[in-house]
This record gives sequence, C-alpha cells and structure tokens, in this order.
Amino acid sequence: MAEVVLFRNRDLPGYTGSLADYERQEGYAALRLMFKQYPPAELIELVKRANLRGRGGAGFPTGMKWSFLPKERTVTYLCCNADESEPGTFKDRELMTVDPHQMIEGIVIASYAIGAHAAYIYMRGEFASEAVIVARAVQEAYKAGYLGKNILGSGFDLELTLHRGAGAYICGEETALLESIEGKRGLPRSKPPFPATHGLYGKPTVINNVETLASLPHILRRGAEWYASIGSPPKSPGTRIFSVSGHVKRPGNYEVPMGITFRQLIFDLAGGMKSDRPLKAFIPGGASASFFTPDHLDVKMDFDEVAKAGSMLGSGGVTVMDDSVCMVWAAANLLRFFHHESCGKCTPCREGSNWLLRVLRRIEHGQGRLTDLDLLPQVCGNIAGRTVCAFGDAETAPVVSTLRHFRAEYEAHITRKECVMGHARPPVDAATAHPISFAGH
Amino acid sequence: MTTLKSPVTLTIDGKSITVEKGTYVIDAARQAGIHIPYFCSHVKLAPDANCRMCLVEVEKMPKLQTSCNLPVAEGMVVRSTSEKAEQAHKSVMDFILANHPLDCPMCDQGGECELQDRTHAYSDNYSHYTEAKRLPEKRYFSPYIEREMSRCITCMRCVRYCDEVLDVKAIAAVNRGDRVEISTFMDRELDCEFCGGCVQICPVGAFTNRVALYDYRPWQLKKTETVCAYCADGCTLTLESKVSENQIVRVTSDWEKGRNLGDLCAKGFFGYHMINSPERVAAPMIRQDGRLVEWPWIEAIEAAAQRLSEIKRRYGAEAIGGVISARCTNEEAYLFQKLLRLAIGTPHVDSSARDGHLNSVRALTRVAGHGRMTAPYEAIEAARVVMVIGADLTETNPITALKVKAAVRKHGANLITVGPYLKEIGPISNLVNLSQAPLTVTPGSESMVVRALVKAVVEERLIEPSVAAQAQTYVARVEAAVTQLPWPVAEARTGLSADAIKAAARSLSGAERAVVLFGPELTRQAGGYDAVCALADLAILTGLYSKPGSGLNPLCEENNEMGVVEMGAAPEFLPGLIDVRNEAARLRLREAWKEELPSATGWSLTQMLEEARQGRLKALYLVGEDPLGSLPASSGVRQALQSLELLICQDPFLTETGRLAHLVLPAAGFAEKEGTFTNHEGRVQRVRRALEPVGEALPDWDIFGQLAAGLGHPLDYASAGEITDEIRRVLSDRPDGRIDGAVMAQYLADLTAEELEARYRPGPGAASERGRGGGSMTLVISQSLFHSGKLSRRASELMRIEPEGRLQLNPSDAERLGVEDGDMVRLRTMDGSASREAVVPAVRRAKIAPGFCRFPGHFPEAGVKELVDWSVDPVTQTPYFRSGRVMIEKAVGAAATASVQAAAREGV
Repeated sequence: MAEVVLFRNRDLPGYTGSLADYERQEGYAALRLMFKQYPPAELIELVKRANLRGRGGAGFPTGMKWSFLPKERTVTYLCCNADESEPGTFKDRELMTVDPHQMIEGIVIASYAIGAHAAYIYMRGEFASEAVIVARAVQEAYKAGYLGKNILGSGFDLELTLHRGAGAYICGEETALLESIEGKRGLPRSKPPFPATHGLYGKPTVINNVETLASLPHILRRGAEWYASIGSPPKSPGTRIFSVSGHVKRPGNYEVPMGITFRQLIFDLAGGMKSDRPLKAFIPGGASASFFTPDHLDVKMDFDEVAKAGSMLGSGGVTVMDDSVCMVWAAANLLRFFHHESCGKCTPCREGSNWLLRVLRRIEHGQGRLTDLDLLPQVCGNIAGRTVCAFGDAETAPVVSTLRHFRAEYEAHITRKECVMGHARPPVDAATAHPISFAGH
Repeated sequence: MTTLKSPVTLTIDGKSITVEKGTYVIDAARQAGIHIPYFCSHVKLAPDANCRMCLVEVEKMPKLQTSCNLPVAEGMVVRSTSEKAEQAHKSVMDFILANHPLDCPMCDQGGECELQDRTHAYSDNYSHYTEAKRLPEKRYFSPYIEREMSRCITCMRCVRYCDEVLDVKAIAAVNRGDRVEISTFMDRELDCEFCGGCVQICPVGAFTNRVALYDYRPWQLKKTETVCAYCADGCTLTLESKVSENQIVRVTSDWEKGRNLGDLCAKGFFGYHMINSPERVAAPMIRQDGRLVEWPWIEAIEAAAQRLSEIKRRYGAEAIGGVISARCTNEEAYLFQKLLRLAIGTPHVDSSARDGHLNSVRALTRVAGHGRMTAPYEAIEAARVVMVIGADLTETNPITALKVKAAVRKHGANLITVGPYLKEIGPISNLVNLSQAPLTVTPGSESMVVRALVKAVVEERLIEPSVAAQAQTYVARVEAAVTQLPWPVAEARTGLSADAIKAAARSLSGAERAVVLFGPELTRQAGGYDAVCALADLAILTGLYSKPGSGLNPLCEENNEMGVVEMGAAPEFLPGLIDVRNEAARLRLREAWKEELPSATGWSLTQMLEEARQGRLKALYLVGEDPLGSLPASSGVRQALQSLELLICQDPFLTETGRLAHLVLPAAGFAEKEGTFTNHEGRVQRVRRALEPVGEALPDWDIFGQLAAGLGHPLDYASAGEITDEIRRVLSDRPDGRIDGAVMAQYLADLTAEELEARYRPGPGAASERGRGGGSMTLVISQSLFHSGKLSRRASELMRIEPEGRLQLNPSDAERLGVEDGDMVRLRTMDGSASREAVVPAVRRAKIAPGFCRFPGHFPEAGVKELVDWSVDPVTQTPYFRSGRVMIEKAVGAAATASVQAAAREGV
C-alpha cells in the first residue's frame, strides 16, 4: 500500500495528538522551515507547483485560490472550514481529533502565505467533544508560541479563533460560513463578489478545508515535487481521505493515493459488502453527489475521472448500498435532509426541496403517478444552476441520478402502488402530511 | 441625456444600451424601457438576488444570471426573452405560487399586488404543483401591522428595509427553508418605529395596514398627492380616501417621489386620523354668557370684524396682534401678515416659528441671506462627514435621519453625534450607534461644544484656506475671541476632552464634503441665538459655506416653520426675509402692494403676551396656536390671555386657549386645502386638497379674505393659487436658497470684535448653566418620534402607540432611584421657597446619558412643563422653556399629575 500522509500519526501506538506527541513526529518543523526559507510569494508558488486541490468538495487548486486575493489589501482573513456536515463524510472530524496540531500548523502556513493575521476555525455545531480537543490544541499552540504575536521569533502574528456553528448544514457553504462568523443568519451570499475580494467583514478572505490545510505541512517539508508525483498526477495529486459508510464490512476513513478505483476502496480496503449481498448503488462523494451503480466500480477516484463518469468526488464520502435498499426511499431520505437544511433564501431551492420531497414520498408510498416521472426531472431542472449557491444542484443529484439508473424501480412503485422493495410503510396519510410542523419551528 | 462618467455599452434583447459603469443589468434594461420581472429587487435596497425571478441569459456565461445584481460589462449580450429565460421566469412563478394561498379576493393587496401582476404576465395559466399547500400558523403580530405569512414569498424586502434603510432590525427571518417566517425577536408583539415601511415595500399581502384592514379595495380609493403636515422633513404623501365617506382610509408614498422618496415615519403612515378626528370644530362659536355657542359663519365674521374695528378705533391698530401657526400654508401666512399689516394696520404679527426657529433664521440670514439648509438631502447622503448637534434626529426629524443613515451605511460617511446620548440597541433606531466617535456631552452644553469646536479649528489651524485668505480681519477677531475660552473650562462644562473636540474639528474641516445639522437642543435652549451664531462661525471657518456639497443645516420641528417666516409672519421680517427696517425694500413692497405698511416695530409672540399683561395689547388673533397649552404657567400666559378684550382662536380643534376665546373659527386641516409648505431644506411643495372640510370649516386663507372684507379692506383671492402667484411676483428677486455672497462679505466685514468676544466668553459659569431648579438631574422637554406638537394627540393610532408621556432616564439613574419601567416618579424643583412637582411614569433608556432625563413635550397635562426654567432671548425674543434642574424620587402609589393640579399650585 502506498504511504499514509495525513493519518501517519493516527496509528502510532500511544499517540494522543498532544503538542508534545506532535512535535516528536516532526510537528511544527514545517513552520520553522517556512519562516527560514520561504517568503509568502514563494510559498504560494510551492503550493501551486504541488497542485494541491481543495478537499472540501469543489477541488479548486489551492495555490490559485490564494493568488486571487487583490494585490492591494489592508486586512486579510483565513477561515478553516471545519463545518463538515455532508451526510456520509467524516474525515475532517477524525483529522481534527487525532491530530489537531497538523491542522493548526496548516492554518499558520496558509495565513502566512496570504498575509492573514486573524484566522478562524469554523467548526460544525454538533462537534462538541471535537471542539474541546481543538480548543485545547489551540491553547497549547498559543502557549508554545506557534500562535499569537511574533510566532517563533519570525515577526509574524496570528490570532486564531475557534468559532462553533449552530447546527445548519448550509454554513459549510463558504459565504454562509462567513455570514455566520459575522454573527448573522447563515445564508449564502450571492456571488460575485467572491470572498477573495469581499469576504469576512467585507475583507479579502480565503476559506480552506481542514484536509487541505492539514496537507500543507507535508508539502512544505517534503517538497512540491514529491506531492505532485504521488496520487494521480498531474491533475489529482496527493492522498485523499475517503469516508466509507453503509453496507460494507469495515466502514471508516481510508487515506489512499488519489486514482485508485472504487472497487479497490470498497472491496479491498473496506472489506467488501456486509452480509455479502450484492452492491446495488453507491454515492461516490457525499450526499450531494450523483449515485453510481456497480458499472462505475472501476472508475478511477480522481477529480476528473469521476466528473467524466457523471458524478463528483465531492467531500470524499462514499456511501455503499446493497440490494435491500429501495432507491425511491434512498432519494426521498436524502431529500428529507435537503428539505430540512435548505436555508430558504432563494425560491427554487426553498420551494423545490419541498416539492421534490412530497412527490418522492408519494411515489414511495404507492401514491405516485406516471407523470411524476416527467415532473421530477423538470422540477430538478428548474432548481439546478438557478440558485444562490450549489445547494440547489446538490439536492437534485439524488433524484436525477436514481431516476437515471433506477427508473424501472420508480415505475414499479407507481404501477404496483406500493414499495416494491417491501419496506414497511407508515400509513399514507401521515406520510404525505407535511414532514415538519410549522408551529413555531 | 446627461453625459456619463464611464459609459458602458451592452445589448439587451437586441437593443444597444449605454449606461454608467456599475449599473446593474436590470436597471440598464429599465432605462431602455425593457422590463425584466423581479420580486426581491427594490430601488430602496441593495440587491439580494434571492427570488431568482430576474434570471436572464448572458452570452458566454453557461448559467442563467440574476440581472438584479449583475453589473453591466462592455459588449455584454443579454437576453431576457429567450426561450431559456422565459422558461426560467415561468418556473420561478411555479415555485412561488406553489405555496401561495391565492386568497386575492379578500387580500388588501389585491389590485396592487406584484405577484398578481407577474402571474398575469409571466405564468402559465395553471400550476404544476398538486401537493398540499403549506399553512403557517397564524399568530398575533401587532395592532398596527397585519402579518399573513401564508402570502409571504420570502423576498426579504421588509427585513432588508428595516435594516438597511431604517437601521432598526425590528423584524427578521426565523426558521429555515420553506418554514421561513418573518418575525420579531422571540416572536413578541412588534415593537418598532412603526414607519410602515414593511407594509409599503411588501410586494404581496404578507404585511398589510391593520388599521385599515379589509376597509378598501385599492382601486376604489381617491389618491391625492400632498405634503405631510407634521414635521419639517417635508414628506410627500398620497392620501387615499373614500370619496363617499369623505374619509382618509390610508396613507402611502411613492418610492420615486418627493423629498422622502417613499420613506415615511409613524406620523406620516399612521397619523392620518387627526384629519377625520371626531374632535374637530365643525362650526364657528361665539362666547355668550361665558359659554361658547355655535354661530353662523357670516355673523361670526361680522362680529370679529366689528370687534377688531372697535378696538382699533378705541386703542389704535397697535393694540391688536396676531400669531399664526407654522402648520399653515405659505399662502395663509402671507395673507395673514397682509391682513394684520394692511387691513388692520398693526406691525404685531408673529408665528410659532418663534419657538427656536427664529434663532436660526436671524443668525443665518445675517450670514448667508436666508435661513434654509445649505446642504439639501442629497448632499447629506453624499457627505463624507456628518455632524448632528442638538437633536435626537430619529425622534425630531425621522426622514432627515434616514438621509444621515444612508450617508453612513450606504456611502461610509463618518458621523459625529453631539448630545447627551449613548449607544443603545432597541426598537427605535439611534444615530449614536452609527457614530464611530460620538461626542456624549453634559446635557445643555451643546452650545459650549460649538464654541470649543471653533476654538479647535482656530488653534489647530484647520481654517479653510480660501476663508483664511479672504477674511483676515474676521479670522483674527475670532482667534482673539476664542482665547477667552480656556480648554479646562470647555472640558469641564462639556464633559469632553479637548482631544475629542479637536479630533471632531479635524474631521469636519478635513472632509471633502461635510454637513452639520443642528436642532432644538441648541435652538430651543437659553442662548440659542448666540449658539447658532457660533455655529455659523464654525461653518464659515471649516468651509461648510464654500466647499461644494457641504453645508450648515437647521432642523425645524413644524412642517412650515421655514415658510411662515419667509412669508413675513414675523415682526422683524417682511415677506422674503426682508428686514422690516430696510427702507428701500419697504418701498418696493409698498409699490407691489400699493399700500402703506405700518412703520412701528412689531412685537414678537413673547412680547405680545407681555404687552397683553401690561394692558397695551387688547386683541389677539391666534391661528392654529395654543399658547396656554404649550407655555409653562410661569410665562404668565394665562394672565395675558385673560387680560385681553378680544381673543380669536382659529383652529381645526378646540384648544385650551380656545376655551378662553371670545370667538372660535373652525379652520380646515391640511388635507382639506390647497397651498404650499416649505420644508427645512427650503423646498416649496404643493399641498393638495383630498377631502371636503369637516362641517363648516374653511381654509385659513379663505377666512382671512372674509375677515378682510368685513374690515372694509378687501384682500380678494379666488383661490390659494392666486395667492401663490402673488407671492411669486412679490418675491421674484429674493434668494432661492443659494448663499448670498454679498451678505456674507458684509457680515464678515461688519462683525465687531466686541460681538465676537461676547459670543465666546464662557459666561457666568456653571451655576447659571445648571438652571434654577436646584436638583441634580437635567430635565429636557423633548420631541417624540410618534408625536408632533399637540396635533398628533388628535391622531388615534399615534395615541395608541404612545398614549402618555414617560420620563426617560438612564438605567443607572433608575437603579439608584429604585425605579423600573412604568414606575411613577416625582419630579420636583425648588425656586426660592416655591416648590413645584409633577408625578409621571418613568422608562429606562440606555441612550439617555446618566444625569440626564427627558420628557416628551406633547403631554403638557403631565405638568412637567411647569418645572422648567422660563426665559426669553434678549435678541430674538425666543421663549425658552424646555430645560431645568429637577430632583427625582420614586413616587410609590402616586397617580400621575394632571395639569390642573400643577396650575393650581402655581396659583393661576
């Protein structure tokens, strides 16, 4: 197996993630190296050469994101997006708890590169114990002089603030995240302008994912060329952590070089199908990604190959479903999530999530009409690409892809007026009633 | 077409359009007559792009774009009617209508609903949505504003307006997704400024006017565009009335019209019930056997004329005086002074503008030739630095306050507030919150701050170079004068550090465009005239008069204070602000009027009262004025009025003074007459008749004409418009708001070192500034956002919003006194051996500085006005009765004082 980078300390016996442990494993050595050898401009060049691509979902080249900042700027902010909320994705959570200083070192490196003297970790509200761990690590870093004034005698100052969210999925969207830090309702902003020019408090801002930032110390220590050569060069270098969940024998986080196939991940690493039932479908990159079928098992797991095959690598959450899963139920279940989490700012997403959910539930409960199968893609088409943020695209992915791959299953639900998978059903009345009460919440 | 600074040419729907860089596509389309549909976009608001209705196709962009927030680019090709764009419009309609109740037949918005209009234009005639509709739970919201969330399309215009324009944030979105609702903090009953903005800006019927709920169908209402009669902001209103019932049903305002551009305050939006008040006087009344009895008009006029003639015969014309309310039109003020000066032949004519505004006019006319704002609203908004001194602007002039808010929030201006105020987050906006370095001063020290600012400008060499070069003598004299004011004295009296004052002076003089606004806490406090003179020095020295876009702006309370003085309803001014002693000007007027003007010097309001007490003034003609209700007993107003042989009160209402009158004449209200008002900017605006006058009431100008005829001296005008024409003719050569350079040059040359020295001498010291009352708290009688003089007391909805006066004080003072909101407090003053007191409810306001308290002046019956110091300005005869020193204690179990008791203690 290829080498492990981000999780290299995870399985060390007795490793606690404390500052002392981290320092023993060359922790913060990258920082010293950086202050000694790399002026910010060269650091940005280094990351560009490494071709590190964002691990939050969109896969945007990190070095390029940094260089979008305006030349003339007075204040710059860095935000570490630790709002990992995508169903099926749980890699940042483990990264932060196992080795919090790796992320903090990455934050200092990125801040130095872009000239930020204030950085925020925006952490998912539900991460309560994780927040304690990260807060403790931040405190340790301050005490040891890795944060605060004049870090390691370099003259570089950085204040790092841990900001906890309040439980909205949408706050992982970078502009909603900014609004939330500002103390406002977490709603995505209409772009342009982009955060690079008008970010936190209207100032130039970079938002990077935990995994992206955690990769930086390694790139610094081992060089851009090393990084660019591992994984799936030239376009998807590096390792990537995939969270595997669902009907597999060994669910969990797997750090692998980019470019292995889904078959290798699901069958070799995750141990194959639980109960040895056949694989029916899998989501390749978090709940926002289109469903794949066994036909896609040999697709290479890099950004471009997955996109070419009609989905996305997204946030790295691979959810595996065996043949006991009803695809209408699966789509409806995801829509229940998206309907609950739609922020309500823009019309197509707000109204569309409700519409899709209601139609899917009807079909699921044997109340569907054949015309629904034309209506669903039509409604999806009226949402996707027309919303303020990418949430609109995300909520249509499960519907469009299950319809594409499992149309017959939808039709059977409609014509036989029941779930063909034989799932137990609540009474139809209760199911088609509005899923959420409006009485004040 | 105006030339563009940086033109950008683009194509929209095949049409080539050139617009200013930075314009949004939707606006560029509008300029070219192309309508792109929208819901959330609004001329008042920053784009939010949430409704997605305005999607257009743009060449070289893969996705459809929202045109409301897409800036134009050179060569851009936009299609709003392509198949893709039209399909998008239809789909958004489908989404929005999915959960809309379509209860149009009974919705108050029906007929003027943007959703109805868009549905008609952009929707298929059926819905693809066949699922159940959401039905939000209906919950109580407010007595004034109705909330129907099932109709809400979540465009957030209301929330954005409340925040971006009002700076209030009384309402916000709660919940997520399709459960989003507009609500208040913790879903409490709405508590806000009640400006009605959310109702006006709502594109559908989610927010409607509950006061008029289900009372009308919009298309059945007669719409009359006129100007508000409350404050001097001069807002354009549309009075919407039912013709058959001769009733105003609601008030609206056009977003693109007037000085307010559609923004209103609670008085404008909810204050219209005073028009159709049941308390209106319907017929003339004459005092017979001590009682007022209704009388036919013709005989009432005859009686008035006869008795006036008799007094004139017996005591001479100068035994007659008249005071007109600054709520009357320019035409009425003009005719009133003609009636008095020509038909009766007396120089004693004054107006309610005496109450502070004359301090501004007198001082500023000397300097600039007129008393208007020199920086109009547009300039306030565009200013880089705005200073507000002596006014809690949201309370006194809410729409002018919006211009200041826009300057700060939209354009990043630096705001400096000067007053005994602190930051406070609450249901009513607070300009102090928008000020980065507010000057929180010792109450009553505002005029000292002005002097200290002048000192700072001079000492720190911040004088505008052109002024320094052109007016060396003046500058030298000011420099000499300010040396009398040592910094320690200025610091001790204002409570500010010299550094803070110097920093403010630097901001002011260093700004490319700076505007200073000043209000009642300067002009209605003892020494008001001198304070405005010092402020004029500050304006001259910092270049406010010479830098384009800068200016010095007096704020007025009543709607036409500016106008009535300019019309000559003041003993010292003839129409056009001509000094009554200016022989050449008198000569010209005499030619225009073809009549001789009285030559004696006239008496001001305060002098008339004094002369009445002395028995020299025998008849007083009050038009819309109620001195008994307004002035404290210590002014001797009751004795003065009781000494008169003839008191005529012409008013829409029977006032306290009216009850003493020999003759009461019913006047029409502003909605029942034609004419013009001049707002404090100096804009002359048309007032239009919406209703037939109540009962037998007549417009004031009509009554003046009839009375003149009765006096055998006809002043014949067939309409108010004829008077307007005459005013235009007579005043054709008068200044129009521009600064009169000759006047200023004269002023700078004439101003003596002695006068300047007197202006900057710190005065006899702290004792006199503290006032006579002897208490530890400074009391100021203030204005409330929800009221205007006593007129608003007749407006039922405003009385529901603010039914009683409450003493506002800092929470720390309240805690010291053990007082909670609503508790009764006793205010007491000791003047020599005489003790006076009033008992009123208290309310804590974090905004009020410790040691300061204020009580709204609209509730004279509370007796608080009897506790203030009474004095008269030696130069302008302005009465001062709005501040004093009081002792405060908790009044356990006490009931509020009634004015009668207060008066009884005074022994009047």
